[in-house]
Amino acid sequence: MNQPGNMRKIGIVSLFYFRNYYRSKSFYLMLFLVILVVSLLTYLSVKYFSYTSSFPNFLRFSSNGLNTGLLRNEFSFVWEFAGTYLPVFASVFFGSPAISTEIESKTAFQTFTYPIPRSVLFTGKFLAAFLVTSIIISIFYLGQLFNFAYLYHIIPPGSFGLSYLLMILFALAMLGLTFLLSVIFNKNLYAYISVFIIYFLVFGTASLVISFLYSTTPFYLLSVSAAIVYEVYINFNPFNFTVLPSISPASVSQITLYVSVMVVYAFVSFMSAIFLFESKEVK
Amino acid sequence: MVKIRIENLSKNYGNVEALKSVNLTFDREGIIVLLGPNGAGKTTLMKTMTGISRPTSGDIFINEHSVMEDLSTALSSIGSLVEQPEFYPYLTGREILNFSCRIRGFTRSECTERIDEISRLTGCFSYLDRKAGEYSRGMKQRLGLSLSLLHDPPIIILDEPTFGLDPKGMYQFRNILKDINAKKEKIIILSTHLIGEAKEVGDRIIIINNGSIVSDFENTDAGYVRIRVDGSKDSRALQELASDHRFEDGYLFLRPDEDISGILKRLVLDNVRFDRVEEYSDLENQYIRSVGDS
Repeated sequence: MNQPGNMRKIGIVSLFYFRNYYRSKSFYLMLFLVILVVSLLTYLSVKYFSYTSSFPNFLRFSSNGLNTGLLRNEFSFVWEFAGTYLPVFASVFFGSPAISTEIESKTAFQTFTYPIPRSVLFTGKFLAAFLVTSIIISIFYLGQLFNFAYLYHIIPPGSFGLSYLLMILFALAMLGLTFLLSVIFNKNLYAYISVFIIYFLVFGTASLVISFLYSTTPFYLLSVSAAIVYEVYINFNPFNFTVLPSISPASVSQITLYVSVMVVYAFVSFMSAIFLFESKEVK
Repeated sequence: MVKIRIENLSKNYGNVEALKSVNLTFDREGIIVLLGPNGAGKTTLMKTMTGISRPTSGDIFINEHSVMEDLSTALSSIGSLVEQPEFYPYLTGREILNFSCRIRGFTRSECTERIDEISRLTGCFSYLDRKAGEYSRGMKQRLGLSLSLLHDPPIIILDEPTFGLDPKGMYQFRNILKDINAKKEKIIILSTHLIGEAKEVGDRIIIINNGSIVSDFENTDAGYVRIRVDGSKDSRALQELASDHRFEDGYLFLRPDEDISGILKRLVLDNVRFDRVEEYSDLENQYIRSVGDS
């Protein structure tokens, strides 16, 4: 018997939890949601975003009429705008109960007694959740890719790949946040609710208040920085009132700034969660 | 030699002192029973030994590895079943066992072999490929026992392992424990609040109450059959029996392997009146004395 190294142990733990995740009801519910969203957006795309469709006023970003490039960007913008909610819901489904359920359903009485560092256990579980979240996001992007190719008969531009990577990074940051809250609470319900409160209520209200009172974009809020996922097509965040809409894509410096914010969220929350998990105990 | 050393171990939950400066050493193979009423501190002691809870003060050394400083190394010598086991509902029993086996460094083929062997011993082989979410309490208990034995640990910690099992399940579970203990190769620490269970399987019994160790002794109590006889020892038969048997407070104590019916017949023929014949255990009395009104 050779004791596996920590990296090997993380692999074993990830595979174990990945199985549990993809067989869970949460995974199938997320799968249903993503298929529903893709179906609705497909309907919208075919109706309004083909070269021959009559574009509705509420989707017009430019008063000069639409050229084909802008039409394609607006198609992607609308898809990504809807898609940014997927990492939020996937993180809540897979991340929020990740640790709290160990306490609530008492599986911790087994998992805490395995002779592996808690950090290995945590990292393995985090990677498993990240993997299933990435699968959900990838299904959404595949739907978008097929629609794009069907409507415009070309492959999507580089912004499509960039947007995908940013969405994955956003999912990583959201999972970090949800895992951190999951370590703090011993009940799943609290972990679920707190994510919604922080993301939608606290971040949403803070963004609104700061942008109105100080006329500045609170880029340090995760919900604001997440907008970069669709701003790589058109630099417009409908929830922010300080930046005038622009039909140009976000600049490199803006992308770098928002990426940094998401990386900081992911790293800080991940490390804080591990720190708290090390001393987590079951009463 | 495997050894567990518990030094000045205390555990508080808020203002409640669940364990009060407990000192214990386990250095001899066999079954050690932690006996005590509900809330005495048995489960807390086991939780701190297995890393589920952290001590408030003091330490536990398992093969000289501190659970406070080197928990994962300390845990590598332990197989445990604490409280009623729960498992991930979407995984099969085999997958759960396989994970525990692989994470400890066994190869795939070693794991397959060990899982088959242990699950046959504990009686969960037949349902190992079903998802754990479908298991009954008894099935989970057997899977939990398999998990604790899978890596052949020198120390096994079992917290009320027969709790929630039907009488047949309890009987089978105790027999499995006796089989494992037959070779006296492992330290098995078992908690229970059932005196009969402690008496039946324990080599050493530790009575715990209100977070403290109140009694610690070798279990030599095979039990007695005691007869309450009426009056004095005038009868010749009674005098003879009392000379080589324990006779206290009007009770004549007989060993269970004696010819009880022959002795009763002898007393009847000598006109000795008796009104009660019953099983008796010193352990029971000692337990009652130790835990008081708890």
